[in-house]
Amino acid sequence: MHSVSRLAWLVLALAFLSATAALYGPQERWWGVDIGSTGAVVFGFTLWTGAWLFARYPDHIFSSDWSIAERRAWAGLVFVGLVFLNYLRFMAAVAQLDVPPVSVADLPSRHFMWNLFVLLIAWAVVAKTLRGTQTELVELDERDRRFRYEADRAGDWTLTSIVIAGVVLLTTLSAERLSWWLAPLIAANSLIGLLILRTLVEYVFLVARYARERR
Amino acid sequence: MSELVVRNEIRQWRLARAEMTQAELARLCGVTRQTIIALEAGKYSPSLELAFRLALALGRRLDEVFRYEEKET
Repeated sequence: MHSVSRLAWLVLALAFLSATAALYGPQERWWGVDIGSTGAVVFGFTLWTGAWLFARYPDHIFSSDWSIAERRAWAGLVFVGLVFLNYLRFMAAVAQLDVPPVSVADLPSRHFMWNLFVLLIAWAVVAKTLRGTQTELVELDERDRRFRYEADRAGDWTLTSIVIAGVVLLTTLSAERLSWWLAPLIAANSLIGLLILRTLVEYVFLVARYARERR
Repeated sequence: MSELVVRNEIRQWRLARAEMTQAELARLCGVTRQTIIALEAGKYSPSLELAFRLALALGRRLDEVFRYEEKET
């Protein structure tokens, strides 16, 4: 494996570790270190270092057996995975509220929105640069489109299954137990979570499809 | 019970054409090199349009490049 490739995967692993520390780190300090804040700083650093590495050396990081569409699928999986982690942390913070929020200002969303913004910008930069230096290559052909269609179907199935599960819960649970979930802002954020989960399933399916074909 | 399996001779005809590379064939057909790899390995069945483009790029008739066989399941 090329040294740049090793470095990129190391940065990626560090990004996931630091994101986990930033989002789920303990409240109290460990040996005088604020794990959450340190994780946030390290995450910011690794995210941009990773974006720079992918932008500068895409042909070293990915195997030449990987098409541009497959590279983008992997980048999508990583970023949507991080968005989903961020979302789970946000919903965990919302769940700590004593009463359901009635306005957007009541949501503990300042970091969530900022993290989301940074992730989306980094994702756009990486996706744009994954093409590398081989500008004459086809970016997306019928095989990629067929895989994407299958991934869309997997996402549709996930969405349908969760909506049916939601319908069952709505019709079987008492209004009292559902009152928190049916507060407008909670319901709205739950729907956003559903869309993020659907996208995540799509990307998992897509990278698995490419990997399975290569075996 | 049997199923129809599409087989191809892309690799054979590609090498017969002055050792044309997978990348060259991919460029001529407007697909990625990974699709040519998958086709040659028999892991992907192309659309009819791509099958014609492949035959054209290889300078062969469609039935010289692709054939189907019955496979017992």
